[in-house]
Amino acid sequence: MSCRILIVDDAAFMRATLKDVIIKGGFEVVGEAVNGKDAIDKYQQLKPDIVTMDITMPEMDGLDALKSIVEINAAAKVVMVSAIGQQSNVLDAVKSGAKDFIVKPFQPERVVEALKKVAAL
Amino acid sequence: MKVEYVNPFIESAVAVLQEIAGLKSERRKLQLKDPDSPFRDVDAILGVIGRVHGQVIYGFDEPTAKNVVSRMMMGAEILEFDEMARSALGELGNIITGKASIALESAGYPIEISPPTLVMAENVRISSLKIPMIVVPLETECGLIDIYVGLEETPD
Repeated sequence: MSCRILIVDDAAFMRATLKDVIIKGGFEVVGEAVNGKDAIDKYQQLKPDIVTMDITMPEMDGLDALKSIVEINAAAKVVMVSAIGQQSNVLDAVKSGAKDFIVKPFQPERVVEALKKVAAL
Repeated sequence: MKVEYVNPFIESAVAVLQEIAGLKSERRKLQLKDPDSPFRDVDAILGVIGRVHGQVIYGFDEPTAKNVVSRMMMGAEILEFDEMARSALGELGNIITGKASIALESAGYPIEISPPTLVMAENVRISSLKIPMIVVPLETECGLIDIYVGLEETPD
């Protein structure tokens, strides 16, 4: 089963790193977005199976984008990938509908494991 | 400016440099930054708001910045600071500050951080910085990395 993933991160470096990890993990990267607003647009356009979502981004942050995406599709699968792993942020994200929370810096296996788990939901 | 605000950034920087750049670092003596002295040639600036507020700046000279980014990118040679290299350095600042924010939250100082701004120029002076800064140099194989922390408690 091919699983289509949208990567959301403002840093080109992090998008490239995640893309590499995700492809090596056997998933398909269907698109990339550079901020929360872009994420919402691309989510509606591309209808990915899973979104990886950074939090600290210009224009609109990842928590607001998560909330909007879950409003668009209550079954949306969003995995947060952020350096801001404070407990309050993790709780806020999970309460808002995030399926997992990966704290940067991450081990590639952690990302692949999370995506496999979320894909199976 | 309390030293307890500074330590989380140093500990986080040492751990993150090792983890994402395979770079060992050793802290040198912390000093008060002379407000009239310039920053380094390549600086990643992050704003902090919350229980404490101010700025944290990670400063490099250009060869050091290129070397660190190269290590983050599996040894790829960095000839110029293109978008990829700039974003890697910004992301380094973001990850160090993010990890430090977890420790600060545990110590009773929850904060939020802004996306990084990267400044590349000689003799950088930033006039909007009103909070005294402490600078801690980290000695690494790639050269010195300066961590500037200027934070103060936010009044209730």
